This record gives sequence, structure tokens and C-alpha cells, in this order.
Amino acid sequence: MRAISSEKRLILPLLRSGATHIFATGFEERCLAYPRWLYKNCSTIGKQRFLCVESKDRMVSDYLLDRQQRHRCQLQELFASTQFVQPDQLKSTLGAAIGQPAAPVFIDISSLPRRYIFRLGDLTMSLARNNRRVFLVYTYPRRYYAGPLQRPSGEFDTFPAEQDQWRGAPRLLLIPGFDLEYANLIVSYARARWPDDFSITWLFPFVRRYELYERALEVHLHLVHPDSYRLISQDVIGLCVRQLESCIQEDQQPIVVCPLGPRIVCASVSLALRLVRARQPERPMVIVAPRTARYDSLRSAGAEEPLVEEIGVYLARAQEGGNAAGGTVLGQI
Amino acid sequence: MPSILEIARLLPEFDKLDAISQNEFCRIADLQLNRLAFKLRCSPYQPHLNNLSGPNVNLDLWAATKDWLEQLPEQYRLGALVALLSTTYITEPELDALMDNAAEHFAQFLFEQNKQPASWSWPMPPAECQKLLPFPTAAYEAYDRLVRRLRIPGTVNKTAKSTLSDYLYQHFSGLCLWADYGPACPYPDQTAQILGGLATQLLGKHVLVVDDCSFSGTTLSSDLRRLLDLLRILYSAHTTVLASKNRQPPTVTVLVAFATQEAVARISKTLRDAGRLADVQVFCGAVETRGRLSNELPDRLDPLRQVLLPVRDAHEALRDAIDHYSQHFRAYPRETTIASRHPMADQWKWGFKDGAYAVVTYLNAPNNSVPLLWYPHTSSAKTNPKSLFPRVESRESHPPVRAEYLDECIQRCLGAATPPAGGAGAESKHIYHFLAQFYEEEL
Repeated sequence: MRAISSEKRLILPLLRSGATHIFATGFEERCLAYPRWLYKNCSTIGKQRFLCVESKDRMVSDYLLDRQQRHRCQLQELFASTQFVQPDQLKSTLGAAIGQPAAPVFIDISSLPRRYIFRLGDLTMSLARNNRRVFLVYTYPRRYYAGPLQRPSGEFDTFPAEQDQWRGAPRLLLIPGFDLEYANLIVSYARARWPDDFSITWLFPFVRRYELYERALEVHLHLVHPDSYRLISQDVIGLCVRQLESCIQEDQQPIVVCPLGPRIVCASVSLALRLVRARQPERPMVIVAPRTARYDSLRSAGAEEPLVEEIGVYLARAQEGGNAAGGTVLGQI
Repeated sequence: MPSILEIARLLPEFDKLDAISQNEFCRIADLQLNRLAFKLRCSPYQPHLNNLSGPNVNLDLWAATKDWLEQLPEQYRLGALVALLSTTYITEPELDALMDNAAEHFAQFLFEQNKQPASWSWPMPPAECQKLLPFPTAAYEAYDRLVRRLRIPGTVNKTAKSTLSDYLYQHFSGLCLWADYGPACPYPDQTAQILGGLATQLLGKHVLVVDDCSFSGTTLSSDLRRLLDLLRILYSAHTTVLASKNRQPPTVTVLVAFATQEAVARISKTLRDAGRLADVQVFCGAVETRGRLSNELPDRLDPLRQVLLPVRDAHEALRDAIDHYSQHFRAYPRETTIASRHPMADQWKWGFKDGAYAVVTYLNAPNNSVPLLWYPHTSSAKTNPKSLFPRVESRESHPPVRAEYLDECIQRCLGAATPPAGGAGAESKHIYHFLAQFYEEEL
């Protein structure tokens, strides 16, 4: 992905005839970085369509709800025509609401809950089939706060019922973030379910900001063995998809992907699974993550310049994989 | 293996902390040592593989740290420990991942330049691959692995691939002969053949200059400036004839796995000052954006700083330790060729050009990092104190005589490559006349 200001020459002409912009309002300031950039740089705001995914999560503290509400108001001040969409109506509403057939689509996943990023996979596939240009937008916060940021709920979403029919124990691909407890839950579950046979590959997102990678590594040190530790490119989607693909295809075991790290990696996971599915249609592949108990602390402050990358090329390749990842989101993040 | 408590007890400040703070201090320090130990297990520090004497971080980081601190006077141990805990250790997989990132950005750049309709990434289409001409800036394994992953032809046998400075040295020697004597030089046929071969070898190519790490940007920008001078000599006076024959001068791309902001600024300035012939792009795997240790400690040591605050400021302790260590480090310029290249000021106590970085790669410790970590280097006459990450001094890569010779050659070649302005001296433009005729007749 590249800084959006360096891609102005590509993006601004596309906006002239109108485009659809999908984003979500969250507690973090970064959710408004892309809308603000658009407001400042786009001279044809009237021709744009804005869709905001609203997540009504009840496990959120009043303080964070208040922040989210403020961001919602600020978004409406920027773009009064914003249409707010409920997550359960995501596919149908978005599918119908997206403008003219040729209009490009920009999806800002900076504040989009991870499960919706996977659900959006189906939608982006259908967009790519219609030869639309699809862009992914992502904004990093200026800084993350120290310490564990959130905790998973005590209950863990179960693995799929078909796991008993799997031939052999699975390989877990763990993509860690800053919070140890999520990885702990998954590893504990796997240890209990497959005491000796399951294997883990740790895929650490690397590297736009080296200190973020080192923080994730520091947090998970006692769980990670050097032999099972690898790096995946966080910001270069094409490279990340290739790395994930080759990692998944190393064997024939069932694959359980646990994307606990940055949201940007979820897009690559979704694409890579579709690509592998095309070649290995029978192989069990699932995406699993624990549910967050309660959002009661803010995890970041400020926002950097948004990054953007066109993903149409990858989507076209991933179409071969069909609906592989879309139907396999089991857990909640 | 000593515990973190044994290490902490070496510090006089530790005894002044209350029990809770002591506990917290040990927890934070142990976590950071664990981070380093994990990375050392992934990629052992290579200079230690030669069984150097002194604390060996590959075998037992805690024991090595204890031995290392014990060599230093008590009041400077905290500062030294802070320097160690601030250290970023770049492992082999990390360096490869950084290289891949830089190469991927380059591939995307080419993709856009060529307006390719389909996904275009590594490995590139064979026709494009043939256009790539990669050069490492020094002999290092990460380069060999990179070109193998990228499947660039002609680079599989690493012994056949010369470094950029070797390539420049070799060609400027020949060019210089022609600049001085023209067809009257010794072995004129062979020299002319080499000159013609060089001019055609580079035409239409993407010259890739690949460096693993760049801290001050000095070495890379020097090599780059000389490469751009070579291109000016070969092509700048002949752009019209080349265009008429539909031949393009080469483009130059710099891939750096890990660079500092200072290095990027210096390289960019070099490119601007060189009056470049074609667009030069710089792609970095990562750019170090944090401040230097001389200004601030890394964020991850904030909790440690808080814990120590009642008894001592951690950054102040580091500064004191660096001041103290400068008495040992003062010998470094005399022991190496650096003094002859750069009059090394005594006040460069934070490392070469006052780098003040706390970065060590699994291959070596850069001399821009704080000397506490790497000095005395492996070939130093000094044997005490022993360093944790002794640097292998790359004297061979910095021979000042060769650099001076090269720069003198370049000046002579540039003079002989410019178009004659008429009048006296026109016949001495041997390179210009040769290339004008060569491009006209041979392309």
C-alpha cells in the first residue's frame, strides 16, 4: 500500500465521475482520516456515494460509545449524504447501493470489524467480476497505547462441527497482534482438542513500522518457537498473499487461520484462502478468532496519512477460488 | 545461566529501588533480554561463530550481559544495560523480508511504468527480467538470497557477481586509459572492445543497486554518485543519436532493506546533485523513523524509565556511559582506515558520524551504532573491555586510496566525454569521439 497523497494522480481523476466509498465509524480517530482526506482533496463531493457500516456492539463502554457517536456526527458534517448500513444488511444493502456499473469502489477497512472484512470478501468478488476498480484503504494510528489493549471473552467460539471428520489434526496459522490472551485462548483450545498432533505456524506481520512488529513479538515470545516463526508482509498485499499461499500449501493438513493482528492482513488472508481453495477444493480451511469480551479502553491515538492499494488484480485471481473464505468465518474478533 | 536478578544486582541504582520497583525493573529487563535472545536463537550473531573470546551472546545472553557489565565501572553499568535493551537486532528472516518488501515496491513501480494489464510481480516476465542488472554494494548473503528468490538471470553463481564498487573500479580503469591516450593506449583493440561492450551492456537496462542497511548513507551515496558519473560519461552527450535508434540509457534503482531517514535524505541529495540522466528511484524495506539514542530512548523502554525515575534518569545514565566509553573508542579512527577517509572527530562518541543508533544485524554491527555495543571490534588491538556485538571491521570495503583513484579517474573521463566546444583540445575528447562513432555505426 502507498500513501494516498502519492497516488493522487491515479485517484482524483477516478473520483471526477463519482465513486462509492465504504467505511465504518469506530472509537479510534483514524476512522475519519480517509473521509477527511476525501473532503479536502475531492472537488466533486456531490457525485460520490458514502456508505458507513455501523456496528451496534453492546459490549462497549459508555466512553467509547460517546466517542463513536462523535465520530458519526463529524462524518455527517463532512458528508451529509452518508448512508448508514447495519452489518447484517451489509451484503444486500451495499450490493444494491453501489452506484453506476463502472464506478470505482474504495473500501476503508481501518475501523471495520474484522468479521465484516471477511464478509465483504464476497461483495468485492462480485464487484471485480463486473470489472469495477476496487481500492483498499487503510490508516495507521499515530501511536498505540502501551499494555494489553483488549481482552477476549472467557467463552471461545467453537471450531466447526466438521472438525471430527478432519483427517488428522490441523495446522494453526496464528497472525498475532498486541494482545496475548487471544493467542493464548486459541492455543489452549487446540492443546485440549488435539493434545499432541496439531502444529502452529506463527506469522508475524512485518514491517512498515518496525516497532509494531517488535511489540507483537515481545508479547508472544514465550509461546513462539523460532522454528515455527515466520514473517509476512503487512502492507504489500500482493507479497502477503503470495507468502500466505505458499505457507498454506506446504502440506495437506486442515488449516485454521487466526488473524489476530492488524486488519490490513485480513484482506490478504481472505484472498490467499480463495486462491488455495481453487487448487485444493476438498481441504478444510477455516478462519477463527476469539470474541472480545468488552471494549472499554481506547487502543490508539491520532492518525497517519491513509494508505491505498488497488486490489482488482488480486480479486481477479482470487475469483477462481469462489466463495471459499466467505462461508468459513466461524469466530468473532 | 544467571538470572536477571544477578544482572540487576550489578547496578548500584537497583538497590535504591523499593521492592515493587525492583520487581518491575527485572520484569521489563528480562522481557527485553528475552526478545534479543529469541532473535539470537533465530539468527546467531555471525562474528561470534568464529569463537571470539569474550562474552558470547549466542550461547547465553544473560551470562554474556553479566560478564560484559562486570567489566565496566559500577556507575556506568546502568547506561550500558539501557543501550543493550534499546538494541534492535535484525535477524536473517527479517533482513530477507525487508529485501522482499523493497523489491516488491520496485516491481509495482515497473508495473505502473509499463502499464501492464495483468498482475505483475516477482518472478517477472522473462523479457523484463533480462533487463535487470543488479549489483550488491558489498558481498553479503542477503543479496544472494534475494536474487535467487527474484530469479534474476545471470546471478545464480554468486562468485561471478562483482560488487558495484568493483564493477566501477574495473571499468573506470579501462575508461581512464582511453580518456588519456585514445587509440594510442596500450592494447587499443581490446580497450575499445571493452568500452563498446560496457556502453551496450547498460543500454535499456534497469540497474539495481542493492544494499542491506544504510545508516548515514555515506557508502551508498558515494557508490551511487560514481555510477551516475559513469552513465553521464557513456550517454549524456549522445542522447539524440540513441533516441534516433530507439535505444534508452539505463534507469537506476536503489533497493535498501533497512535505511535511516538520514540515509534516505543523503541519497536523495546525491541524486539531485548528480544532475541525473534518468529517473532514479529509491525503495526501502523499512525506514527507521525513531529518534537517535542521543536524543531519546525507544518507546519500549518507557516503563523502565518510569521505574528508575526516582533514583536515576535512564537516558542520563546512558549519556554518562557513552561519555565514559569514548576514552576507549578514541582509538578506533587510528585502528581503521576511516580516519583517512573522514577526519573522525573525537566528539563522535555515539558512533561513526555520531550515528547514535542501537541497531545490530545478524551479520555485523554497523559503526553508526553506539560503540558500547560493538567496540573493540574483532581486529582491534584493544582487548578490554570486551564488547557484546564485536564488529568485523570491513577495511577491505573502504580503501581510501582506491576511492581517491576512482574519483580522479572520473574527473579525467568526464573531461574526455564532453562534446568538443571547438578550437584547441577537441582532439583530446577521446571518449566522446569513440562513443559517437560507436553509437552511429554499431547500434
